Amino acid sequence: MKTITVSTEIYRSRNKGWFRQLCFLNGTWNVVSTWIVLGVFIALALAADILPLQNPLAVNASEILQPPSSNHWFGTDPWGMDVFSRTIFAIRVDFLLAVSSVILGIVAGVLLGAVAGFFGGFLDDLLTRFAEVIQGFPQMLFGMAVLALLGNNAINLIFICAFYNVPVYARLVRSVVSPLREADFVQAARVSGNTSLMIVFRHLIPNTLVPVFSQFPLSCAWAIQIVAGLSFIGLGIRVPTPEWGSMINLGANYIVFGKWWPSVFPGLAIVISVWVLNNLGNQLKSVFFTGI
Amino acid sequence: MNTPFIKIEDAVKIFTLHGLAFRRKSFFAIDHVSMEIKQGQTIGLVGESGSGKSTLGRCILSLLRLDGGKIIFRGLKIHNMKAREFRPLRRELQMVFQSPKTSFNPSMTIGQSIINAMCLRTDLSKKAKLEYLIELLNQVQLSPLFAGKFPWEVSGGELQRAGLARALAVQPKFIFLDEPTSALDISIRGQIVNLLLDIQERNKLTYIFVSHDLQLIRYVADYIYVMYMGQIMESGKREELFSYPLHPYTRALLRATLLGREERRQARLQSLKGEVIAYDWSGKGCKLAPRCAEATPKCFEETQFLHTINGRQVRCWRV
Amino acid sequence: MTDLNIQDLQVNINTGQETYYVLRGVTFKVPAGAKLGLVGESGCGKSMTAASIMRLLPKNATIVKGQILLDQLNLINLSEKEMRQIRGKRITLIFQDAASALNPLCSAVQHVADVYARHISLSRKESLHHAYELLAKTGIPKHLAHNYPHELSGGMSQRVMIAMALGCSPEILIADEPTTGLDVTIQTQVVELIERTVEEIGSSLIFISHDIGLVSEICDRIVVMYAGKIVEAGNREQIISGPGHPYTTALLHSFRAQPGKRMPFIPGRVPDLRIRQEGCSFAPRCSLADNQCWHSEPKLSEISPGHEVACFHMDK
Repeated sequence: MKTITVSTEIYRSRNKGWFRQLCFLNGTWNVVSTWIVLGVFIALALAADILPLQNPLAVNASEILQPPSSNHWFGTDPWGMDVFSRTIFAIRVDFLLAVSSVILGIVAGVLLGAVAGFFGGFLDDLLTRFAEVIQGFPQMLFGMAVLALLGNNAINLIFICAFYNVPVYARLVRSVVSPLREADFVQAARVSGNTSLMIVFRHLIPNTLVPVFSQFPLSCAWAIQIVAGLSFIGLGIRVPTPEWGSMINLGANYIVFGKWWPSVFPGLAIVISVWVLNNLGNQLKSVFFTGI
Repeated sequence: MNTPFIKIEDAVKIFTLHGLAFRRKSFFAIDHVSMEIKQGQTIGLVGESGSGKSTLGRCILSLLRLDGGKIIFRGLKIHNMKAREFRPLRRELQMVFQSPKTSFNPSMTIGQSIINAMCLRTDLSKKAKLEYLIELLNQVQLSPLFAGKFPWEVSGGELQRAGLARALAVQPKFIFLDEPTSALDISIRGQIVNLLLDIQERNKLTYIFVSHDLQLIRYVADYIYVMYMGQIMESGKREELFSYPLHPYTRALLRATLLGREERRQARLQSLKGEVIAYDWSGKGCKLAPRCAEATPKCFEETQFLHTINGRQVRCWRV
Repeated sequence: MTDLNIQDLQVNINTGQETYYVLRGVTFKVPAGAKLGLVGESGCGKSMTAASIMRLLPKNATIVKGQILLDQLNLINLSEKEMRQIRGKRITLIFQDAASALNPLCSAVQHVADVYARHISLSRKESLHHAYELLAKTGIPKHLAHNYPHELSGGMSQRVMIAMALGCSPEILIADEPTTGLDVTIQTQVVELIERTVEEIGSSLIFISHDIGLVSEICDRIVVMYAGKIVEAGNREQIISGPGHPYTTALLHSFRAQPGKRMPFIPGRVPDLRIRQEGCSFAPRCSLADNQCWHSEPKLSEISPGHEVACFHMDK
């Protein structure tokens, strides 16, 4: 006897593997290159210790600002440290920092924004004022204050970046949810017996994820920037711990003299990372929200 | 079975528009409306924009609160009930929305939406819900493949049928149909209507069928209420209303939807002029007076009440 | 006044992955001063025809073949600049959803005045003056003329559109489902307004709708479209009292629903325009379809003077 198998999931994804579907929606070149680069990054980050790299922390006064050579593939920086190995070791630091803090910020921001946007009234006003205050506050000062008060460690750094992302995503989500409050499908969901909480989580938040995914890579790039700024003044990730932003800062003064490699290579690393994150965001979007 | 299925007593709903500089205009979206609906009936609710028919539906389904009056469902007062109290009743009272495209969540497939609508069906396991989904789609003559499609991949008529399937998911006793065919082509109007009638018979449902198209109402409704600006202007059984429309507004609607060009040309002098401007009622006199071709000074002065003639209600002193 | 002559118009839309054959050889004439009704279900190509005449097709649409002759001028060959001289002045269009077709930042009178200022190059003061007059004629009194679109009801927005369309006394007015979404009593007002003003100015009218009853009220000539092609064309009397094509008959049935047990309708759904099937496109939904219908495509042929039908079984 023939039985009809039905899935409520997206029809296409039943038949093709997820990888093939990604390629179909985004272009094979895009998908393959993104994942290869991501794979390389992750592999390097994990295996950095066992790879035959120069010591990223070895200060060597006799070899400062050497151009790229067979000995130092990316050259050396003003302290004589090998730029190549530092760039690779920094993957851990930057990726972890950026991604985790942004994700934390997204979770908190989306929740707050959705609840405020849906229930409106006092909660909404409170959130808007709160967001305005946070966003109006000078970021560096705030970062400095927190690190000075609560201790100069990675957890606090993550907290600072996350904190600044909360109002961004809260506002984003609120701007999507608020007009949808009176939408027909929300009324229909209510008529079917959904509670307010179910409506917020099951019906409204999925509709906000597209702008959230679009904003995600930008937030990551921004997080790296903030960390770099803080480490420049000696807070957060202290030199000599490798971190792209601080590496750029360290080499910035020497570009004028023609010594481009200490800053450009970590800069390229940031660009590639943001590119990968951006593509990941687009691919996620395409899989879950075909056509929106 | 003497208690009516749904009884609406003197319902009132006021909307306030916030204008510039604290100017606020309030108007009656529902102006002292009373109705009695027996189980198994199809009530036709006729009226144009601003008549309050959609608002009435939302009040019955507890999407809006009443500012006055009562709604009694099977002897239970359901108006202004707390959400938690009303939730179990949502299994019995359902609604189909006017615009199918906006009544489905664009980020969920049709199947996901319908299964979500079964959230009150705690008697069904996950597997059973999937099976019931297929059965529902069959009932509305949609192939099971529609479960995996998004709302924007599907035509208006098919989406409206999906909306009906969603309303049926909880096995309700009553469905409020808010202009179910207005957003669709005239050529598929009949498809939806015949389906609605079939399902009503099969599942023994009570309907309130809202439409501005009297031609359509003639097919489906047993008893009809004609509304204008929140008030009932006329009511009566199907045959009576269509053969002997009493109120000028009913006659105007009939002319607009049923008659052809020649008859309309002849009746040109009697058509309605102007438009509904919801909050521009002076507070006394008949609400239709500014537009009515048969208006007299008395119409502007005296507030009109519903009076009963031969078992029908009319709100016009000329009758 | 001018004739509009459309000959074998074929339009495709390319979405990059698929091609939609939206118009598949549309031919009809709109003589000067005539009122022509274009009837068909959603997706049959009537709005596309209007868009083609106005050259307002989406970017991925291509006019594959055909001519649109305004008197002797072929609109397809015109450049965008030349077309702008024609749009809004010689041929104007009334959209379906008036409220969203208006600029939310401009008031009603500004919309109409802009038309004058642009095409007839009047001074600001003069165009405003004319605008007030025209709006009053279409039923919007002076005190309402300053309202912005969100302050206007559906019917009033539509009147503003009509005023904008008639400002330059166009030779051809295209009304694309102007009554959708309006109250029925307002619908009659809008339709009567269109009829009255078109007669006053003496322009031709192309009235597009899916409601054959509405179209038969004001149009002398009716053209029925299905799946990108014309299936029947004729005068009002011919079409209403003696339709030749089964689709037209079915449309008339659903419009003229007489009280009975079941409401009439046309079963099935509108064909997928990506597929060019063999034979008549209406065959899957037609009760008269036979082998011939499934394999060969009927061409438009005249069954009586002025009455053309594309069907192998022209019933009387």
